[in-house]
Amino acid sequence: MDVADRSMYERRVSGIALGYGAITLVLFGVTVFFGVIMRTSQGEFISVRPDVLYEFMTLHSIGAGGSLMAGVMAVMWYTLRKHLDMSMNIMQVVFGIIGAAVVTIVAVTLLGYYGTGWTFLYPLPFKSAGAWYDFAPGMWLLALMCVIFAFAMSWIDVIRAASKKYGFSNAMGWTLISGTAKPENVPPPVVLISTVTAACGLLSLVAGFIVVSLMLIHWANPSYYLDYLFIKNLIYYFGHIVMNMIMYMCAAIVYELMPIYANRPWKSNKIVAISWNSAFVAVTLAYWHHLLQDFPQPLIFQFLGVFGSYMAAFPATVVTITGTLILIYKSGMKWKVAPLYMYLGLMGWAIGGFWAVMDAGFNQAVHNTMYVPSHFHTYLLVGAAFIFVGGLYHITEELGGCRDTFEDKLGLWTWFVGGYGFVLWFMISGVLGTPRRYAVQMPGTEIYSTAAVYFAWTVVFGLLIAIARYLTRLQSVKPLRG
Amino acid sequence: MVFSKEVKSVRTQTWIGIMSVASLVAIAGIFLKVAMSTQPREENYENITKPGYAIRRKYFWALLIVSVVCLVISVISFPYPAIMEAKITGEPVVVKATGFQFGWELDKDVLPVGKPVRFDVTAKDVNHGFGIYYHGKDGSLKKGIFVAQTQAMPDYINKLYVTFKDPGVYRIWCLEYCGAAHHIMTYEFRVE
Ligand code: HEM
Ligand SMILES: [Cu+2]
Repeated sequence: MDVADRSMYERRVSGIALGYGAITLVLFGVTVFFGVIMRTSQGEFISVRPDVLYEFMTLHSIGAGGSLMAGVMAVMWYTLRKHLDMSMNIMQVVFGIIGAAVVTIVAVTLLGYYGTGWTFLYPLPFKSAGAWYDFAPGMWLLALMCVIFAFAMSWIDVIRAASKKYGFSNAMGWTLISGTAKPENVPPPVVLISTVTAACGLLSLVAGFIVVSLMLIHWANPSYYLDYLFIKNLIYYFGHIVMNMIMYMCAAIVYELMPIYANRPWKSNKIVAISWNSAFVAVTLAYWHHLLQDFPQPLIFQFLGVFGSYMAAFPATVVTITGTLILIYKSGMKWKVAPLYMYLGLMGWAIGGFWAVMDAGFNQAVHNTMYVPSHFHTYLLVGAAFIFVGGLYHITEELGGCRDTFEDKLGLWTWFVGGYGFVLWFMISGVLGTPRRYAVQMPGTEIYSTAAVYFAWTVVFGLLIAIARYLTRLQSVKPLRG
Repeated sequence: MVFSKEVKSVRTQTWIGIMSVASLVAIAGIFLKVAMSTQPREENYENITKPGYAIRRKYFWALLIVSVVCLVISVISFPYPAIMEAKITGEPVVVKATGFQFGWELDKDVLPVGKPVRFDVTAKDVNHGFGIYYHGKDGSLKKGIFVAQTQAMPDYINKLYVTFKDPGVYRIWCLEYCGAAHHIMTYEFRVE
């Protein structure tokens, strides 16, 4: 591409990211709202019928998780635009497939009453005790298959583009580790992390493809039985890693954008390469911590699950988070809203991450209690989602010259306060042994939900302001085509 | 509060709670300190990275030591049958427990205090979670105190060893989402 084509390409990718960001952010807001309704019902301000509440739970988790992931992916495309030639056609196809999946999932929920939670543990989808229609699990699995294909296409394209420009083993950081990297061909961190994430994520999508296919076969032919423990392993290998890749893509974004605000370089080096490759290994091993209460699992897997969970703390905190702190320390940086979102997002990642490690290490005590939603809401709601919104704010700032307003700050801090209050009540109720996923809370534990409701609604206001402000900021970005 | 000091899981939960708050405060404190430190700018980045990397190295070793110690504690407190069998003395009382949508079947309703009990847990239809909670001497404790858990998976038997220290009323609550009545899937037994 020549210079004019290049700048055209970059503008168009930015446009895709902005548009895609707007849609996914709104979708994110709507599906988070279903979570708020759930919490309000658990807190006994309103009373949603249990089967309906579990439908909401399913819609909320797949919706908020999926839209956040798609949105973060779009921001990642934006951060890669200067370094790689990714296919814009693929971006649009990915967009289209996910749209089809969203429509299907909404339909299956409203018309099929489907409600297995996002974990869809076999054989629950096919044995609902009359709560949902038989067609529902099939349609839901097909929608999930669409999502798997969409993310697979995007990640394959990242790997393709990175390999073309840097060579695969170079883009993965292996030449940096072995010391054979040529200085002029070292991939920037955003490329390295995106490639590692794409590779790690793709493997989990293969597991997802297999497990969804097997369950679809069972759906078509119920006499075809599957091994429950094997399927559970596949589901968590898929689900655990995909959820974690949201945060890894966020890290890629931070590596690319934070240096702009700090006005300091952040380069790939051997430590960064080792860190991200060990993160790949750690997060893969760590999926076994979801099966620690399945005693028939081989002991070695139980050990590796705990080992991998402890190991995951190293690359994340020693390299990425400490690296960010060093980058910012005495950098003279002004706290605009975009970097503030990202910075606080990293903080949520660190906190939620530590809680996750404790959950894995002492799983007997807190498995499937409210402690579990406490840690993942911390690194999603006040972690990854912050980085997502921070990324979007950055793009509008760079392309539209947007200045921060009072409302921008108000949205951020409202969301922050509400978010932490909300997850803290999950945490407290979790360490008191309250089971998770109870439409009506265990007697004597309702109070924790009641207290959380105020904070959940605080998040609603913060999020609404943030979304409204993003859509307003979007207006000042000049038309990108023509 | 009616806290049985002998319930190990409660101790673990309390520690997790304390450490959760401590990690939150520590991390937030560090982030706040760095956020407040941005001005004035130090133009020579090396003056930051050198001491920064030195701190990072110390942090790495501290984290390594803490992780290894925790990993050892985690492993020796694994609840798995192979490990528990080495720890208990005497023949356990065996209880067959089966979960179904939406309830539990146990082949014994009165269990001994102070003696090892082994629950052979499975499920009839879908996955359930076998969570034991203590509800007080006479069952009047509304909010149960968590004691132990394992999964209930069809076709598999999860062998859970528990030695009850407190006589009284215990209830099983389901700890794996299993459908529309998951939250009321409970069962009561006594320990004497
Ligand atoms: C204020 C915002 C939010 C509220 C009030 C909320 C509320 C809830 C509630 C009440 C549950 C069920 C907890 C239980 O009893 O087990 C839940 C589960 C969940 N939420 Fe959220 N949530 C929020 C934000 C988010 C975000 C931002 C994400 C992801 C990006 C998310 C993903 C999930 C997932 C994956 C589950 C697990 C569902 C399952 O167990 O199958 N939530 N949320
Ligand atoms: Cu259940």
